[in-house]
Amino acid sequence: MKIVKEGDKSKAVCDTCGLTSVTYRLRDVPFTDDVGIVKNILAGVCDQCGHVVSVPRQCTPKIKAVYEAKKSAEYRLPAHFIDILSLASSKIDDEIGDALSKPLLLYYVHKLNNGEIPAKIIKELLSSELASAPSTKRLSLKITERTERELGDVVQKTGLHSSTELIKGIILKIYEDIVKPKTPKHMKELKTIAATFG
Amino acid sequence: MQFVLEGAMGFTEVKARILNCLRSGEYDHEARGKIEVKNLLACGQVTEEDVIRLVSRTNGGQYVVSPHHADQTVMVHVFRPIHHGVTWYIKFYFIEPGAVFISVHL
Repeated sequence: MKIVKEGDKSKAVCDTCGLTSVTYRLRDVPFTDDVGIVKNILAGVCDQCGHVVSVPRQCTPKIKAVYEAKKSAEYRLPAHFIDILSLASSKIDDEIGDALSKPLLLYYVHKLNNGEIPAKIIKELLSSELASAPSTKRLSLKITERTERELGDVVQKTGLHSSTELIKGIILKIYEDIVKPKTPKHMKELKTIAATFG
Repeated sequence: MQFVLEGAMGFTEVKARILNCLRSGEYDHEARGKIEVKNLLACGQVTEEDVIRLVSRTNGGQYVVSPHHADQTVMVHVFRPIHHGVTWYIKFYFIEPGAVFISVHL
């Protein structure tokens, strides 16, 4: 793998100057969507105009860390949905309890994304009697950009209108799979996941 | 718009060359003052192996080339492979001895 040092030279296309020589210098480089700023990384700086025009491959781990800085997602849900999530978490592992809520939700998001759970089930569950109630409570989750993207993919696959609808549908599925039956089907797998959050 | 220049590389050569760049780590990422969030490779949201797989499955019908808007002497290559029913977009140019990725996204 190529490693560049401060002061090394290369070439790149600068938006202002065209094909140009660049020198790798330390710079603070923001993201295009203002998610954050990657501080003090080597960047290819145009020798003519002084603008940053490239970043070397070796900076990806640091860029990734800043990119994945967590942000909060808020979902308005009926009160009993929060209860269902708590009940399911406690049933899997009584000692960890609510700390399992987020991993449990993401477990289901992932299962939907890879097709292990058919997407149509979510829509069916949302038309059930248990689904109809005013959304008076709020569930707040810290999620990464990657998770946000996966949620978006699953929203598309399920044909729903929002991540909130998806989360509601997943909680209803959790009710069917974990809370309702005496012994949940995937208990062994779920307990293994819980063990990683000890 | 596709430009065919005398002496230009064909698709097969472009594909082989970008695969070589990915495997050897000989590449940078374009940053027009900022890191492009649409470049999922730069942001570590896809791996080199992911992009190698996508490039490997690209066929000639999923490839276009055109001059860079800022310098007509530099050709920008775009691969649009389809993976699991989803079209990816991989855009790059070559700068000896490596490459510069402009974007990698769905």
